[in-house]
Amino acid sequence: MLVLTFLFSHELRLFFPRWFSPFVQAIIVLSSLIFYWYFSKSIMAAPSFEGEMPEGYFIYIIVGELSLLWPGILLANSSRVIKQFYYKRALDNLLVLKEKASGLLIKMSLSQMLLQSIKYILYFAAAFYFSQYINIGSVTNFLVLQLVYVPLFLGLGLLAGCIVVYFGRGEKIIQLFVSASYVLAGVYFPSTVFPKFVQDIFKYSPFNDLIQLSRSTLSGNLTIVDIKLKLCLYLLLGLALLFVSQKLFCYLITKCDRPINHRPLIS
Amino acid sequence: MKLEVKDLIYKHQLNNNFCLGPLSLTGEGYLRVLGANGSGKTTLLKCLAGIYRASKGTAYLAGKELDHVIWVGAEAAIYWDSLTAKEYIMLQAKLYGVAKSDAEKKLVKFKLDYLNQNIFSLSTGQKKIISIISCVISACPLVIMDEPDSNLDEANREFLYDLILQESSLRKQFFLFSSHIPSNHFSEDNTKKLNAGHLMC
Repeated sequence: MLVLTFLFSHELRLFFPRWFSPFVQAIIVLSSLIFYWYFSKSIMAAPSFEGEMPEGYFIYIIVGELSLLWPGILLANSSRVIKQFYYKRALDNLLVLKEKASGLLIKMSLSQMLLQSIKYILYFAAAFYFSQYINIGSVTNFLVLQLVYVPLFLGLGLLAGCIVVYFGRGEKIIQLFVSASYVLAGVYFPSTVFPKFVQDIFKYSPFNDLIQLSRSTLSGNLTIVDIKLKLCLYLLLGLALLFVSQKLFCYLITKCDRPINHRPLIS
Repeated sequence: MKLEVKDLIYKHQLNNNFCLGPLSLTGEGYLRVLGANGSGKTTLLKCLAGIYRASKGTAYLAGKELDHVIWVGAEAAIYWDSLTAKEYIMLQAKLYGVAKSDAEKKLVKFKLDYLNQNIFSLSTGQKKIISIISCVISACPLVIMDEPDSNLDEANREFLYDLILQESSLRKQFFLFSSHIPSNHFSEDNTKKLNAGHLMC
């Protein structure tokens, strides 16, 4: 009985490390319930999809997933890698790299992006087979669009890595954020099923912007030339964010006394 | 190559009873830190590596602030354990700005027979040897090693000590390491003993 008490105390402290942890857990469960509610609502509203999915739900999903494949990887990879460094007890080797550490994380994110591009090939093969609208020209436009957004999501990913480096936790929340962004951006069903205030908040999300542009370019309604100014702006913004996040990461590693040094790191 | 540490103080946030310093020490070529468990050896090494943030004090290597450091922890943990030993050494060399051809030339002299084995298949001692060799090949000015001799057999320990003495005499790298194991290889001038966060005279 005493052993069970000790084990339960250990698990309880791991699961609720801070006073606000029970509230965070409650929010996570509530978020899942809200997602299930709206997902079921969207399934019920399926006939109204026709305006957004000229070729059926299958192509809708494929295009959605393709659009956010690279952004999702870039956003989550840095924090995932830092966590893995910790679990392999090699985090000190990353920290001593100092300014080089951020460059290493960026390269690892890009490697992961390339690795996951195998999925691209299979998805595009399916899209070519089932779609009448998707052709080489629209795919080229789509890929250029994706490349323009890479610095932005790399910068966001490095910022997420800063959170994990400083606090020693947060990787699971970041993954949850990526999954939620997929849903709220309209990967699996139109974001119009959500309440107006949710749509107003998330219309400024880079995920939403990218997925809308991606759907338009792949269906042939938009070309890169039509949105060149917007893309230049996003590219500059992405490069600026990448620069800032690299500087912040270097600062956290070299100048800051991080709580991660002083507390056991738990998921 | 001279390492100078002045008035280093570090207060451990988890263990409020432990405070390292104020600590001042100097060493030429290499510095060996001895001490019992909990005396502050790893804390000192981590402060100088930049892993811990010292609340006070300065450290200089060859008159310049500590910048480029390479670290070998007590567990010799390697993140990229799916790489072969050779690939890992090349990666480390590249990270520290050494050209592949130069790294390969230096690697040849070590004559290791497990260079093409994946790191996850190596023993702890072998991983440690690989980590130490990668530090030497990286040509990083400051090499900090936490108990590098702890998982090594006698032959590899001799190899390690000879390597430290040989490389430090070239004056391109400084070796700072902690140890439990008594050895006659190192001079008294380059050996410091810690006790409860302070140097013993």
